[in-house]
Amino acid sequence: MNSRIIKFALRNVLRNRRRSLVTGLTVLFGAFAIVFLQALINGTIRNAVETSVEGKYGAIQVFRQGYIGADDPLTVHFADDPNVVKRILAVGGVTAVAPRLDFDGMLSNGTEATMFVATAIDPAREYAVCPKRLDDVAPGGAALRPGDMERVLIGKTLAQSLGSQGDANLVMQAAGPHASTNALDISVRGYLRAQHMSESKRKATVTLRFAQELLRMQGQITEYVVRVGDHEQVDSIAPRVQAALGAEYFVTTWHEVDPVMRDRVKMMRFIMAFVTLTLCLLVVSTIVNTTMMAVHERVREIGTMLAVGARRWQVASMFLVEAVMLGTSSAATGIALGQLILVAWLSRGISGTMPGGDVTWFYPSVSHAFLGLALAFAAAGTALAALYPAWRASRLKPVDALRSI
Amino acid sequence: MVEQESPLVRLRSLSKEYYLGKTSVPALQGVDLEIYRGEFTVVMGPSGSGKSTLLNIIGCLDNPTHGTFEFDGHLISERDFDALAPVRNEKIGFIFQSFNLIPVLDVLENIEFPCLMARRREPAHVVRSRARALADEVGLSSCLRHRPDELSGGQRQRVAIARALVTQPKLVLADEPTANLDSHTSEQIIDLMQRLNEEKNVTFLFSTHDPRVRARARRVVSIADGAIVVVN
Ligand SMILES: Nc1ncnc2c1ncn2[C@@H]1O[C@H](COP(=O)(O)OP(=O)(O)OP(=O)(O)O)[C@@H](O)[C@H]1O
Ligand SMILES: [Mg+2]
Repeated sequence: MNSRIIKFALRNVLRNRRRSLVTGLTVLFGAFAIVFLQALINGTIRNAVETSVEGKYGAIQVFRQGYIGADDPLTVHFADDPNVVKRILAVGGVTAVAPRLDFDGMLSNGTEATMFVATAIDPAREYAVCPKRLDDVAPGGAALRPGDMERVLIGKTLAQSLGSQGDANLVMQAAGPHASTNALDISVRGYLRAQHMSESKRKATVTLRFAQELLRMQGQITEYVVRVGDHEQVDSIAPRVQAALGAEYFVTTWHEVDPVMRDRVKMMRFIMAFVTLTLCLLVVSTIVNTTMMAVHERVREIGTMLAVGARRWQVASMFLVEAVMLGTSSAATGIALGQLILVAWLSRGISGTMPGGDVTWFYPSVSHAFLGLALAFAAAGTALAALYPAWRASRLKPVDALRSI
Repeated sequence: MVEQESPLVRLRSLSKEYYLGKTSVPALQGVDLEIYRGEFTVVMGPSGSGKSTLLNIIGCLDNPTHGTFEFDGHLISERDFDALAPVRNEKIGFIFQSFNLIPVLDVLENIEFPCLMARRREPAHVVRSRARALADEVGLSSCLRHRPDELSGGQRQRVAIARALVTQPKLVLADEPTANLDSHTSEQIIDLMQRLNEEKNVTFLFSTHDPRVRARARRVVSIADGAIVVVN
């Protein structure tokens, strides 16, 4: 475009400085808020998904058919078989597999006993699937290591209810398949971090070898947990794992195993979409309003332009260029400001606490693609917003426009 | 074919009605008029007699209701507004009672403005030198970089005159160009336009109430109630 036309549009934008400033600040705020909120939501979702997928459930879970919903799930166990592991690993997108044994029972200190829900893991293989388990221990304790045997990690509330401090000795009692009860000594190696109260009250983690001995289930497990390269791909990878293993096994994903988290993610995405829409409407309406006022003030000038030979599209494009100039530059400033704050300040992380849980950290950020998209949307949005007033301006009758005060 | 002596503007039984709701207001009724190249013609008449309406139709800003209008040998009736933009841009210059300058542009830029809207854009330096020459011609060379709000009424009208001439039009239309000026300034503006007419052979068509303008006119068209009463 002609540089003289750009200069002309720029001066028109600047002629009512206060109005342009207010409009610009509104657009700036809108763009800033969209980037900032998106980053917070991204950070929260990432944290939540990682906590769920990389800290608890893995992306994909493999059970024996009939495990879920069984009266006595422990009876639906299967052998930890290297051939099965190989078949799972052969599926594209799968990066690691680890065995688990889930069970429950009673923990006692000799005088009192309380219920627990335990996950038995193989420390040599587990952290490849759920690396976050390594950080899932409160300061002072340590994650389970491959050599560990009679060691347990338990929720803090569970520990307190047994009067345990530090590495107390407890007795773990549980029923194996077909109700054969057994009890073994165990010592507390540390406290699990908890996202919420029920975790703190009930959770325990032991080694797979210990659990197999306690339950008299040598070589048996209840599930494999599977890590994938990209969480977003999980719904396409899971059916391929199922196909590789056959009908004997039942394959599911963290979406189904952790529906609370899935719904929380959905909810956050929905809220973000709603907030974004609201902010977009704010931006569009202020641009419409400003352009309307500009047209209204300049009716005589429009008449003059038409009289000296401007065509109607030239009048319309003048107002469009002005709106896009103001809108895009303000949006770019808002987006840049948002990104600056995110990079300079929040990239170090924000800590948050769920009621009854421990401190978790999350890291707000947006992708560069999102920033580009936001800017493109701002440019297109302001153009769209200015379209109607600009069109109105171009339809003015020159005779009437010239007669107006 | 356009002969040497054919008129620049030829109106034949031209009429214009405005509609206010259901009632029609006749603004022009059966006007016949010719304007020749190099003329300095004044349209006189009381307020509401149809002077502006006549000039707007000749300036291709408005359509007649009935009758024919030829400009420079071409029949102008019933054409799309945008299709006439080049005619307004290249062949006609406008001077308004209230100057109608663009407030964000300085003197030179206002003079150049019609060229910015032109279909075929000339190189910027060509336009610039022509604008400078015109500014000089109308006596504005000392304030080329001033914005309209820094100029007196007379200076503003000089800018408007230079702007009307920048595309070297065949006809300059001036609707009451002195109505917003004091008598001394009016005199100077009329002098200027008369000089441009005599020295550069620019064709002018005015509307006015001003008897001083009438005194300078080579031809006066009197109009009353939308009809021409005398031509002398
Ligand atoms: N847009 C319009 N709508 C309705 N009526 C109009 C319109 N423009 C002009 N008229 C009417 O047409 C008639 C002629 O108006 P016009 O403006 O041409 O007169 P004029 O001679 O220029 O008057 P003045 O000296 O006051 O400028 C008047 O009766 C006026 O009220
Ligand atoms: Mg008038």
